[in-house]
Amino acid sequence: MNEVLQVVVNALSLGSLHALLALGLVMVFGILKLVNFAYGELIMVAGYTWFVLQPSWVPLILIMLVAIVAVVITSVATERIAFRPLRSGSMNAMLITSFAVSTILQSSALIFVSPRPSVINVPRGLTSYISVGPAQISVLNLVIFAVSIVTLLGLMLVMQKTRLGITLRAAADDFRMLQLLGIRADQVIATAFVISGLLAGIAGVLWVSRIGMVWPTIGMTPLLIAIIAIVVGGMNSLKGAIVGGFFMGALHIIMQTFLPQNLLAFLDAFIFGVVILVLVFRPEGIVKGRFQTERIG
Amino acid sequence: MSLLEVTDLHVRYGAIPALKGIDLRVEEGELVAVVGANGAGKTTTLAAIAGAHRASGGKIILDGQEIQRRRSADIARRGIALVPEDRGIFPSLTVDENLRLGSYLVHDATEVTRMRSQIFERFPILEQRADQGAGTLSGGEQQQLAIARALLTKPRLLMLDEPSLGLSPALVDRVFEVIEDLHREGVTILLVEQNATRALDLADRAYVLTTGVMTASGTTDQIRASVDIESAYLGGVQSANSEEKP
Repeated sequence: MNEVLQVVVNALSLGSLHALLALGLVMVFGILKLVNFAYGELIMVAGYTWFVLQPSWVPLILIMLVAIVAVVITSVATERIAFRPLRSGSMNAMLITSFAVSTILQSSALIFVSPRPSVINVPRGLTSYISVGPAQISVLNLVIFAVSIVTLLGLMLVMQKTRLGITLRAAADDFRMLQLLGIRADQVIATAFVISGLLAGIAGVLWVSRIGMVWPTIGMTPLLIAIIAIVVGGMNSLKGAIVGGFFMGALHIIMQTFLPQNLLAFLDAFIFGVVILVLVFRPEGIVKGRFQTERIG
Repeated sequence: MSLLEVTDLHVRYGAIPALKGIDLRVEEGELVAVVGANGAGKTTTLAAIAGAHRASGGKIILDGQEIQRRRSADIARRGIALVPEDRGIFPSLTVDENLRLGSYLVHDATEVTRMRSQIFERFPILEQRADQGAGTLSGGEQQQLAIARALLTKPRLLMLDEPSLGLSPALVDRVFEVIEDLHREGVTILLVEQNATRALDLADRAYVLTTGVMTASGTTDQIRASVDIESAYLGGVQSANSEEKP
């Protein structure tokens, strides 16, 4: 019973974090049809901003907020500098650009900060455990779950109820028509990158809190998770990304908990095995979406 | 000065020429029809005017200003609204959300409310279906939504691409009634329609487009007198410009 409660909390925590990551990636994919391979480096930017600011007098909460803002700025800058000039080009050009942006950001961290992992001072309060009956629950996991859920609910509210959200959903449906109504493409795409950056920033701060370290290629794992989550959940909807994120998080925790000790070395193989099985039976993903399939120049 | 003046417009799809130097003009308050067979270039003409397809040559002048190099959003902001052939509704949004996007550029809330009540008076079904997903509407309802949304942009020129396409005869009647009402109220309309007879019944003037070339133009009476409409519909019209030159 104790174990079940711990597994549930851990699965919800990791699942909600993966959902945030996936949602940030699909926000841009839905409109530009671009899998932004530089997305992982936004997590790195969050981590290094925290690392650089932690020796200062700045309170931790402010450091975290600055890290999120730095990620948003990086996200918008990549759109403005790298993606916008190539938007009317081929999809291959956009993909290669996203790899280039990823490499540039990684190399910058390598040259200007450190090639080795840098330690992040996560406050003791976050790394402690609280007792719920006989079960020991990680405070950090509870915080990650709470922050992720509040962020997801906030975003859903924005997407459903505001003019901005309606515009973004319409852009994913039929971007050309949106432009024919007088709504400028640059404005909508920049907004998508702001939201994507915001989600990556929040997820990045939480991700780094879990690991307690940051290094130049830290973004590869969250990027991979986000891509798999949106494929499994369904690439063509925001709901799909959330479902995929929770699915991947829950699957990871369940496998980690219940696989025999001698098979834990093959954890990833088991997880991907289940992912393949899901895709065999639901090739379009768990949630059927309706984003447009056409790319926008 | 005409509201819209298209001169020697060329559009290509790769190596294939879709429009080979067409001329067209629309005066304020007019209903102008462009008729022709499938593949004649009618939809391409509207797409080029709306900026959805880039012209490879020629001029498109709206209110004295060249717009052929402008982006579709800027052209829409200058007052051209296109209701595309596929209606272009946003299926994952509700009817109400679709309409809200129509009035996106109108910032006066009172004006938006006034326009919406006018729209609901004209299309009562949209008020009844306001919270319904637009993708679940019938073809006729979707067409009404597309026209209503375009009207909410307060267009100076409303372009309708095959509004009767895929509708039952009763719904076609309803759509043409709406177009007639709009024209009577002074809305300037450029109508592209395969149903040439119905389009000519409504229009003040018309153009006949045949494989990328304007083969006839003039008042609807002139067109009826000089062009075999059935032939135009099937794409068999030869050059027969009937417009009286000034």
